[in-house]
Amino acid sequence: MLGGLSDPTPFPWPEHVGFVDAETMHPLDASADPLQRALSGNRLHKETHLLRRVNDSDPKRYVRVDSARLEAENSEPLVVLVIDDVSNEERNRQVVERKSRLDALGQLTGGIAHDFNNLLTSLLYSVVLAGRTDDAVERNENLKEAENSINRARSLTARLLTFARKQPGLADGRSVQKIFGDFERLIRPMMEASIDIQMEADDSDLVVYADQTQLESALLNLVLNSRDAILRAGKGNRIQIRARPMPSSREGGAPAADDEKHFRFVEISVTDNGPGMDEETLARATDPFFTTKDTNSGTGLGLAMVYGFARQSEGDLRIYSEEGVGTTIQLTLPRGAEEGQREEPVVDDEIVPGQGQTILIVEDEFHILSVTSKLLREIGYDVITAASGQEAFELTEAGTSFDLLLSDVVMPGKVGGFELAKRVRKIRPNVPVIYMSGYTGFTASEMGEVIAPLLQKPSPPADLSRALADALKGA
Amino acid sequence: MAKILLLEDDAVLAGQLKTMLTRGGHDTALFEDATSAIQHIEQEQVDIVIADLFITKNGKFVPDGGIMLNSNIRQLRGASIPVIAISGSFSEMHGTHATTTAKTVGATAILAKPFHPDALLQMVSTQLETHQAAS
Repeated sequence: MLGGLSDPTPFPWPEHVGFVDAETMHPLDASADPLQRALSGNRLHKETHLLRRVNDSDPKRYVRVDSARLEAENSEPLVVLVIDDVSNEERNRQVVERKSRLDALGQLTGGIAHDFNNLLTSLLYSVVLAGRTDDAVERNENLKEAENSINRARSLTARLLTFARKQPGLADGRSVQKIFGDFERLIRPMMEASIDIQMEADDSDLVVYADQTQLESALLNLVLNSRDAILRAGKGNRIQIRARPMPSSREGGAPAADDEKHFRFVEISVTDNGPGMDEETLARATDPFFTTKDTNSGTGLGLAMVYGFARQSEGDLRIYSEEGVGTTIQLTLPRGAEEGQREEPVVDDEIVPGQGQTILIVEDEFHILSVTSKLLREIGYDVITAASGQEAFELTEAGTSFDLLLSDVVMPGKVGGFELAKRVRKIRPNVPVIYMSGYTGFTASEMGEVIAPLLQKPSPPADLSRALADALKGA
Repeated sequence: MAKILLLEDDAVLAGQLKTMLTRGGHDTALFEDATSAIQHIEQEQVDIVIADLFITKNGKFVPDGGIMLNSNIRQLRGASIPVIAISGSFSEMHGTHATTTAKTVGATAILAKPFHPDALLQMVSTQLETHQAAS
């Protein structure tokens, strides 16, 4: 791959081989160049770059680079680089991404065409009016108006082109504040007045490390899906976009046990209070070509693309949907550092240990119930479990003693989390309550009688431990 | 000469439409939203309505447009006033949908933007003639 080089290792980096910027084809700056960064002690982890061999006429190769630095005394800096050729994979991905971007563009065009036709009408009137008058002042006014219309039309097309022209590229770091600001300018004019869009970030300085063009497409796909679901069902009026830091991309937020240091992530979620999905739709949601939209308005590639983008960025995508309540889609992406690189692995957030108190966990999904129980036992709590609201209520009625109720919100059967909390408080008026849910669109009024903290699933262990300690301190 | 009610939210275009209609010999009352237009119909004589189907405020589509106006006219006056629906959304992907909507709420004619000033004047006289012949 390095131009037929077969010297015994270690060998100096061949001069004619280098990494180039995918857009400009210029050599990368030292601060971005993987070779320089590896030599200066950074550990590279599956970074995708464009490699130039021999000379400019030689086809460029997309490569995935891993690195580790070798410690040797009295020697120049030594690094091991593992370079995989991923050109075919990368080019296929770019073609599919482009297709999905054009689909989203088609949806945007509806709104823009309406504005554009208004401008064309105005332009036509100005020209006709100018042509039919002998009065120089009136003619000039009309021609001035024509010029204004042309300028307004030009800014409209510029907006479309900015979106359409962006090429899928390589990962880069950008703050949530910037991502949200740009996205809001793009989406706001396209949304119906009846739908309220809210954007919030736990920390607006959070940096997301991903292909920013694809991230914009992904968000656009998610928001348009929510909008279409709301409009089609005639239910719902709110879309929330949130960002929060996550210690891991894995379920339950838990890093592998033997990992002392690990990568951190950012989770961006899109929540609507639309119709939600039934089980069948939910199971097929990320299948390519599966769509709930009219045959001529959706290709069924949107969510499949978003999922592909998440996986390819080494992140993940999770869907929580409650029929009749709404949908939350969580996109987990690597966290970036300020210089536009992926953040270095870090040590875990601190866990606040329990003092042997007893927690009643209510959760209908067995997997989450067992992971959460295991975690709480490890950090110093006793645990009682119930697989439904009804079962938890029966335990409480029978006089089972516990210090805190940790309950899922939406569960099968008549007793959901909010109803359970209400019933439990009738028997145990002072017991602290914490709700947890993957769907996070609930408002305080929907909680009913017992207003309590709502933890977003998956909840990072440190966050969960802090929430428990805080709630128990108040008890 | 006819008494025309014009609903159009784009201020520049509205002024131009009014100028052209006035030069065509008509008396034109201009409104930016359906609510004020409906008040006018309740109090004044109107021979024909020209209404933009979709109205935006601050860049967002609002329900206060020609669709609302049309349904109200049919409730207030039955079929006594012809309505020309104008829109920039007739000819693209939501085109069939917009056309169906216009017909459903009772528009008697449809004109897709962009249209030539003479086409609008022509349609106004045709609509008035057809309507007089029918009544």
